[in-house]
Amino acid sequence: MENQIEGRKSSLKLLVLPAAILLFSIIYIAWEVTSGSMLLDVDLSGGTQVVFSTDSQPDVSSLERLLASYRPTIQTANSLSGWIVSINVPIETNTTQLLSTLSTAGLPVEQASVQTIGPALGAAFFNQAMIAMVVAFIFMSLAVYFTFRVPVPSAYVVLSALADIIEAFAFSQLLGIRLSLATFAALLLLIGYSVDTDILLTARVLKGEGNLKELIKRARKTGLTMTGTTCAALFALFAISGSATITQIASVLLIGMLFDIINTWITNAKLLTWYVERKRSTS
Amino acid sequence: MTNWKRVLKEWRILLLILLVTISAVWILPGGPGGVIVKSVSSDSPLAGKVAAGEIIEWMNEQTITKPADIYVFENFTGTLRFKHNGKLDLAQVTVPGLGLTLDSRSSSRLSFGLDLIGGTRVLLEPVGVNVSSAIIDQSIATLQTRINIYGLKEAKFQSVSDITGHRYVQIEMAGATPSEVENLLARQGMFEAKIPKALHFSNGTASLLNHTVGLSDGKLIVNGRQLSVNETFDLGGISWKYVNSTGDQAIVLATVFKGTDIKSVCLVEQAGVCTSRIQQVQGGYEFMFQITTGQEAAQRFADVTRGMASIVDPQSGSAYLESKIYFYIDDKQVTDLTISSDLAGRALQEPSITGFRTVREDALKEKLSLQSILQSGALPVQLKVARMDSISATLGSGFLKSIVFAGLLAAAAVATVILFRYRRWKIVVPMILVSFSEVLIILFGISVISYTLDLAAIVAIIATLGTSVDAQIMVIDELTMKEKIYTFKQRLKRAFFMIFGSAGTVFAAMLPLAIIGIGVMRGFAIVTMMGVLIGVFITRPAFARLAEFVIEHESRKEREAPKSEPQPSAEPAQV
Repeated sequence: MENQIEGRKSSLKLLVLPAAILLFSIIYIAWEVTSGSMLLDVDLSGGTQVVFSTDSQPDVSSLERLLASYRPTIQTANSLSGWIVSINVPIETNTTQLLSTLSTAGLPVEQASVQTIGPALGAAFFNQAMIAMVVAFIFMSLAVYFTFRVPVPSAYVVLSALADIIEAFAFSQLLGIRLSLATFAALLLLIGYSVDTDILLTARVLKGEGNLKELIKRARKTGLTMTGTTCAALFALFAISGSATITQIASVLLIGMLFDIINTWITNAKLLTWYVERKRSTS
Repeated sequence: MTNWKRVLKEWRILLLILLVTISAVWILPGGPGGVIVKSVSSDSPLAGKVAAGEIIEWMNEQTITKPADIYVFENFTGTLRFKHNGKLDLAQVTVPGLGLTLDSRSSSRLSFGLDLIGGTRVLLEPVGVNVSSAIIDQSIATLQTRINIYGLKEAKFQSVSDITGHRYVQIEMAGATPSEVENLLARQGMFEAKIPKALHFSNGTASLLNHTVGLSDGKLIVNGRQLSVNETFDLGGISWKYVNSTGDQAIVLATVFKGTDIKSVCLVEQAGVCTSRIQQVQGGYEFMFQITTGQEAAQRFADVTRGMASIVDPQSGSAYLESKIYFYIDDKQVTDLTISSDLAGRALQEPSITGFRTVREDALKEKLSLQSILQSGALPVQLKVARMDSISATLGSGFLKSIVFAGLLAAAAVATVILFRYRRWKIVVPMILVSFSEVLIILFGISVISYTLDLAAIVAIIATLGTSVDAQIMVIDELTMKEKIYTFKQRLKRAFFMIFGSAGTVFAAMLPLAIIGIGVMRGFAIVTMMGVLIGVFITRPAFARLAEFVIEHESRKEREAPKSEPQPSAEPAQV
């Protein structure tokens, strides 16, 4: 009995870290929302994006100085044939002037892609993406419930996925990755990826027999292999995709997968252990 | 050997092989050579010999496979021998330049998105109030009319709407610049409707609207003025053009309506106000819509058609005037209509325009097109650019190369992790093969639902592959588990419980986006969902059977060679 209480205490200590990360993320997002400082990409905030490729690695700070009057945000991505530079500027910018400024500075913008998104449309996209996210989450929760048909473990799976998304969003913002349609898509994908390991854990624990620790350990081995392959692929995409969109998606997913390890194998595993122990002791 | 026979008897694996073969044949380019002629300029040495749409396979002993093979001859002078659509032909080139635009004849049915091939995509938003889908369709018809008239590049129009019901018009023009699209939006033509009238002369005079006109030596004499062919004159408040004369007959062309004469075109039927409809009749569909014209224009129509001869269509039995009414935009004839004979000499201010097509789609298209012409190609609602993407072609093709490379790199990275964990090629190779076959089948699926492969679709494919590899790992780990109490069947059942569970969640998460998403996001969701379906119903079951064979085979070998080191693989199932 004493041993069990001791075990609980040390488990509770273990849960402090994931809880702290989640709390910090929620506070950070709440602060961003209230202060209006959320980092949005042009497709959600409206504005103009100029993308071009160069052979040599671009000097971002000197580019920023060159374009200071346009108030730009500059991102770069590595590609097979060199570097991809994307410059975001406010909607009222005279694009022709911007392009000629870049051209005068010797940058190869003859083959640039230019995207312009009206602020109203950007806001419409944002609302739409938000609704899609909420509905997706509800649908996902239902799918999880229909899989297991037991409310408490299903709720743990959903909680773990929710924590992944919140943390991935907060930390990607902290790292300066702007929220765009692409990063929204990544967050939605994260639902799928993070739930994979939680379902594996829950299925193995609920349907398996014998030592709980052993069951979790074996599930963890499989789960970490899954996360490992996903991260390896994402890292390859992150390192060389030649597209800012894919780099964004890969980095948000990578952040999410790292937090998923904590949320699945510490939080969810602990909560599930307690649930099964309670169940076993009552029956 | 017997093992392989067993593998090939398994229907899940056979289905996968079959689908992969179909997909490969469908998608992979190759097959017939040659290039397609997109256009031939009038000063081309091949003009009159080669027509747009033909295929050039061979030129001066060179087999042609891509446009560049023909562009080599741009500086060529002399006799050109070439084979088009199987026929051998000759052309003398005196001045360098062939004046051809060509397209490669890729037999792949997979089309690439604008973000990979370059071009301009515009999302147009109606200004002010939210409009009905009929108005959006009308706007698209108008823009399509403009494209047809001005011969701009091929454009793809689409009506898109978001969750709030807000509607947009999306235009995609591959290879076009933003200015070309802006031009398309700004363009509004000058509409005119003209009716030719035949004048029959006796003793050198004829009557036109109660005025006497004369004909001598091919010159038309009006009010003492001598007019040559193509000259214009005003008579009876109508402007006319002298078209031609043969013997003692001359044709003059009257302008009956101008753009400003068309007061309104009924776009949407309003009971008691105006008519605009399509109805099923015997053998097809009839469309009808009303227009309102000014009093003077109606009078001009009456004056010109008064006393005009009728002809009876032997098929329908309906009587028409001998002259048709021709519609022009910016002096270019765009279409013509027959005039019902009972309209002759009548000044109707609200005439109906009717037409017949055997297919409803065509009737609707024709109706929309006529309506937009009658409005001088004016848009029914002001459209403003809500989003404009201009994607450079070189950047796009660079993306594609980089992504393919990154994809291969990602596959190699995944294979390394798998090999590190299981240390067995026999497991890694089927995983890679099945994953690649999944990509192939998804590409086939994209092509079948006539989607284009764009960046979003590529991301979706990569995402599906990720879940696919996850599923494969679950299968392997279940099958190689040390618990001897379960049979292979039970293990696979448990693996598929997890696979279906996680596929279900991905599907559920993508469903809202697939329904309400705009453009890119929607495509992403649809391709992901398709990938998940292909995965759980085709590739993953096939992989499971394949893995079962491999692992069973290995454990049997172990039993047969008891001295070998024990491996952490499963014992064969014994029920």
